[in-house]
Amino acid sequence: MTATLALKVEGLTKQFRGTTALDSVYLEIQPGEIVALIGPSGCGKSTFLRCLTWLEQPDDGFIEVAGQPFGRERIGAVVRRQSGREIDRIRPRIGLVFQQLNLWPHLTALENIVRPQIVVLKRPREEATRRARDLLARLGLADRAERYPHSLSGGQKQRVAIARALAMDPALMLFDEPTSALDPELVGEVLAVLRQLAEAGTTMLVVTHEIGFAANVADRIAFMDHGRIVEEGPARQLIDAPRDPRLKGFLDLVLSHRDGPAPPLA
Amino acid sequence: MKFNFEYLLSVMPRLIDASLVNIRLALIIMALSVLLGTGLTILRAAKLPVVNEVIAVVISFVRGTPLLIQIFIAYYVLPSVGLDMRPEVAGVAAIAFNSMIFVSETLRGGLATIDPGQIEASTALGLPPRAIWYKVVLPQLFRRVIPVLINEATIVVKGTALLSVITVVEVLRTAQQISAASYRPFETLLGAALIFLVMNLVISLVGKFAEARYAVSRA
Repeated sequence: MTATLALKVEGLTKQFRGTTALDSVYLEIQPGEIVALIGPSGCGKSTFLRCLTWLEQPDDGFIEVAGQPFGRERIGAVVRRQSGREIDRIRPRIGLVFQQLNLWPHLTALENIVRPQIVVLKRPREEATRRARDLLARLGLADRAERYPHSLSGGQKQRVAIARALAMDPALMLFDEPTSALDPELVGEVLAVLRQLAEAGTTMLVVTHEIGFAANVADRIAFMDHGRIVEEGPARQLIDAPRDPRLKGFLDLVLSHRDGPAPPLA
Repeated sequence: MKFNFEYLLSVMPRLIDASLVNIRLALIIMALSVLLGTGLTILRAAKLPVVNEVIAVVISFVRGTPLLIQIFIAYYVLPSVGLDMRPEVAGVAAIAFNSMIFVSETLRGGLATIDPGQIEASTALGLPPRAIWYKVVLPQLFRRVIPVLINEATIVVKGTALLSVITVVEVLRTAQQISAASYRPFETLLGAALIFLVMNLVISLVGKFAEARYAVSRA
């Protein structure tokens, strides 16, 4: 396959004061693919997302976004760390939706989506506004554009955060536990939005506890434990026939907390 | 000597004229102290090793000594190291420096209330550090500290009265000159006090409007 990968991660390593948070992680994501990243808490999933966006500087390893080296690049045998400015320029190619959403409370929903386009991508205001309104309409929030974040529901805020990231035309969207900060009745709403994005061909890496979502919507699942991706494969296959004993244990634990089998979400 | 209301009224026009000096100086001082205080806050947030320790020493000096002494230093001591300033300039410099420290301390306190997640989100979207300060942090910070800044503005206005001791002819000095000639300190000083009261009531009123205006978007 010669198509440019949306994301290529090689040997990503991160240590915090002696403890290894990420232990040489390899991952490739094709354009349009949806990968779910699962694993017990503390296994390094969040650190992985933070390193992918260079919010944490990985100690070692390489990241490529849509064929473009990010953070570190190899020039022959020499490894060069990119400058803050270079990193900032590539950052919008990866859209990160935080667990806590982190909308700007002093700006309306519309401005939350418009401002970064103007400041970072230097788009004219009219174009940025048009894109923002399109996205809000697509996500069913056309009538909430002028609201401030504190007057939006959790699910609405989440959709604004998604729109804010999408407006930057990312090659890849990262989601950090998109459902865990929400009230249970909103989980379905957010999963529906993710499914909608999936149908539109958005490339996504989703850190999730929703095994049901992982099984039904994701193309592939990667299971992480102790800072390593221990097993990865097609979603259904990985859940129905896990090979790694740790993955088996994890799935048993997660699925036993439900009453019976996971309900189909579609 | 009996209090003479007529006399009080008769000195008011001169005092009101003199108040233009206080208003002008207070505006310059507030503009300088907000500007410099913001800059100082950004500098301190960069957490440069030696710089913050030097700033800490300066802060403890400014906070721990009377403003009046700081004004004297600016006017009488600085010329000996080659900084010879006109009374107004020395006075503005002294009060602005003092006020800058308080503005910076206020902003630093407010900084702790800005959710670091917002800054991470901005970083992840590719906003450069400058834009994060100007578009994300400072707009929210100033909304939060408006009440404290209003308070600081009233302190600055009252502080301009201290400049009478370094020969700036403002409201208090004018009042002193009038009373020295007429032997009627009661009316003239009361008149001067009334002028400061009115100026500060206006500031409080502006502050109320500003707070109401920005309360809408507060999280």
